[in-house]
Amino acid sequence: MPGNPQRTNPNKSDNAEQSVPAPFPLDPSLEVNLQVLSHRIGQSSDIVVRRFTNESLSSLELAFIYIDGLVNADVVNQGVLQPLLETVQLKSEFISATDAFQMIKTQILPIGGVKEGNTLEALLPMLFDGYTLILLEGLQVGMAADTSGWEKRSINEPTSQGVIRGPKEGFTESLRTGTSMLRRRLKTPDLRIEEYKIGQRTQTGVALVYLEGIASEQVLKEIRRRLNAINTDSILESNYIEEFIQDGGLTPFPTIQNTERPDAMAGGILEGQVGIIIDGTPFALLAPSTFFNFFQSSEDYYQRYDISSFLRLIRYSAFFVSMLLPALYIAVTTFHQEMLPTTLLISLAAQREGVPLPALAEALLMELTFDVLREAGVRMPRTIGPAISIVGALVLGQAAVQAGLVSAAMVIVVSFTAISNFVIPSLAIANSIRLIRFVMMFIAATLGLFGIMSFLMVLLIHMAGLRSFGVPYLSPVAPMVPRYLKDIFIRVPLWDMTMRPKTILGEETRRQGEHQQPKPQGEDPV
Amino acid sequence: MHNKEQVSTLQLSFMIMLFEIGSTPLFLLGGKAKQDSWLAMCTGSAAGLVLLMLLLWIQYRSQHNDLIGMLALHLGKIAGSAVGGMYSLYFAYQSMRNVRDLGELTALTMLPNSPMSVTMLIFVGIALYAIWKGTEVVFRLPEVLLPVVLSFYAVLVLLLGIMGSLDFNQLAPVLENGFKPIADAALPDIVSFPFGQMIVFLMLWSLWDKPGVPVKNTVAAYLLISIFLIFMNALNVAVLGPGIAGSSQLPFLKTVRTLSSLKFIERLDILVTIQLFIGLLIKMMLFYFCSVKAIAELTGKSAKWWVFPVGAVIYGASFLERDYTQHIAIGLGPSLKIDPVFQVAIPLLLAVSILLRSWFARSSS
Repeated sequence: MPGNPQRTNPNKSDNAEQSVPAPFPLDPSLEVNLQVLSHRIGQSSDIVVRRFTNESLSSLELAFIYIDGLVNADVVNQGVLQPLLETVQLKSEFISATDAFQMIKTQILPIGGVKEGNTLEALLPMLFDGYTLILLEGLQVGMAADTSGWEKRSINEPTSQGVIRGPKEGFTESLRTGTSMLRRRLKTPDLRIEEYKIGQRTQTGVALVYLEGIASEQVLKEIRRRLNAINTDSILESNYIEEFIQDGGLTPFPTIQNTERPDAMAGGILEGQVGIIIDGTPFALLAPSTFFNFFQSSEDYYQRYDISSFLRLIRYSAFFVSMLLPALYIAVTTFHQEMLPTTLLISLAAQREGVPLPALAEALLMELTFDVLREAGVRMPRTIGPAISIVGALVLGQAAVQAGLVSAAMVIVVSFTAISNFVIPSLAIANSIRLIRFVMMFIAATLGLFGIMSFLMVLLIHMAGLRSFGVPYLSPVAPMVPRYLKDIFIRVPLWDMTMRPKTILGEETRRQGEHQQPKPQGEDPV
Repeated sequence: MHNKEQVSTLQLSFMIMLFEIGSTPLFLLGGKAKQDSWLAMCTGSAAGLVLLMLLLWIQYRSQHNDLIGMLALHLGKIAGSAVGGMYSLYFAYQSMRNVRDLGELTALTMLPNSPMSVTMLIFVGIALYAIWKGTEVVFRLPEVLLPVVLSFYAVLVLLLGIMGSLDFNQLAPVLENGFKPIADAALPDIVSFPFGQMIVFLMLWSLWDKPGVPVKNTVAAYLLISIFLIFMNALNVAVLGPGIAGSSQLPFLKTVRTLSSLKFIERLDILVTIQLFIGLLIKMMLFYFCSVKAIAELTGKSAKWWVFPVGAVIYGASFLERDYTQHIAIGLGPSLKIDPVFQVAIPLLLAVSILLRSWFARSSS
């Protein structure tokens, strides 16, 4: 079982920013141990230390330490306190501390996870994971029983990645819930879950989830190397991990996907990606990711292939519209009026007649306004939502046109751009083109269509050189692998996807039998 | 995972196709042959195929070597380096012609008021960026761009077909004045542009990620694209008639403008402009790339070291010609005289040297 929670990087402690105290080996004296412990973790109100002495009978003396709120009180009472108090042998005069320790560990505690540790540093992380520590007088070794159980949010529908048809459950903040959801979907012994503790102060659990034999060893090695190299004191959300391990440096494009959906993650893992679940956030990561991954939604596979293919194409067009439409509007109205049909040109010119601003300023004004509205929509308290919508739609849209600040065509352009942006299933790539759009607008205002084409070409060259954990960002289009194109721009029927795509670095593996197209058996009945 | 300095079969084929398309369909090659210009294209293509076979044979006989290595091997170190240097200059010159083409055409169609120095600088800059990123990136571009370009052509051809402005009777009478004018138009003009430009692939075939020479794929790509170019040539004449097609500066743009009777999409110029831009960019980039590769190999420095100097030379040289008229005049005059030397004479010399060597080797043993 590779899931050793104590896997930490040896060189991490060397240059850690805070001073790490030297490991304290447990003292035979329980009193000393408890003193050092209380010195180390302070007198916090949630820490419960309970001592048992049996003065009348034996020298056996022990103490329980646990953190209230991290443990399940029932389990502590029934699984630890009660058996210890009720076991007759422990009250015997002749029992030694060593025997008692073994007996407690092997016979008395009705708990699955019981671990040992002989330094305070080995025991403390378990304490913070909700274990109950048991220390005995006269022994230089302590015991930790898994009694963890804290308040968790229940499993809800994902809020940012909804589907019409498909599973409605999303990851929660709990790492264990996340891994269990994947186990439920992938009931194969090949599923591997490796756990890391990252962040000196947060000790956040980070789980690497993959299928042995399908995920590429090369990619796994690289991800492990980068995870181990993280030296920070806190990991509070998956973006912390994402920024520390993702390729590209200065690139506007994301090279790691994030998802709230366990089914999407299972799909990715089945195609050779590696999942990274982070404790404390429902957003898990999938890597390596290519540009085209960001246009695939798990719902594509839950609907008929023809409608899925159509929706895919809509998404790619929406991507270009969202990136280019304001820039094209600026370029055409400023430089290339002759490209418009005459009637449209006349109507546009009539609208723009009363507008005091040049096209670029007009577009910038409206785009920035929309971004303000959007940000307000995310931050504002729910109850005043409708008010903002009315102000946004009526005042900034209709009234701005009537006041002659902007032209009606510009309002259409900006609204359509904004809506197109939401068609893209991944927020990560939708956000990256929000910024590219502004650059595009400035270029369109100075160099027209030529500038737009040049900048597109620069973006293309940039993307052609980008990699995600060694996988070319534009694969399988560039470098092209024609047989992998079945699930990129369109989605072919499931029975035709015989081979696992996208595992550019891994082995190409078969995922299902051939010739599975459903046909009536025997002769045509008609 | 393959090596960074290797390209796949598909990448090579796509590059050949996009490189040969370049800006060719926008012009009417062999206009001197009037309605038989498409036959001139056929002749040029056939002659080009013979030349291509010669190049492939040379490559086959000296595998693992590119042009510079072959020259050094067959002409000796000094003479080989000198000729190699000339090739590097020749590639840079061809690249510069494309830069100037784009500068002029942008000024003509898209940005009449912007200084050409800016547009050309951007153009060279894009190519520089791609070459700086390396062989791998340069050869990935056609995989994205060729489908885009071809689909634009398909849309335009389809619309021309539906709109009914196609009149293939304009291609008659075939062979009105016999074969002579066709041969005159084809040789050497059409051979040297675009078909003879396949010479650059002597620098590139050795990058193939499999052993040997990609003969089958190269020839298939070449034939496919020849058919496409011949068809486009015939299309221009069929729409515009030999008179207008022969005399206009950008006949394909005129052809597309006949579509203006479509009410909704009145101007499809933008598609033509994009085709032009991509075609010229790839062509210019590949010449630039080969120039950098040649000089890097001659000097033993890394390609990255040479990207900027060569780019600066190409950019600077694109200002040498005074105006478009001179640019065209040089292109049709001295340039056509030089081309056969680099495209035919030196490869022939190499071939003779290879034959002599193998003959001597056989007779001595």
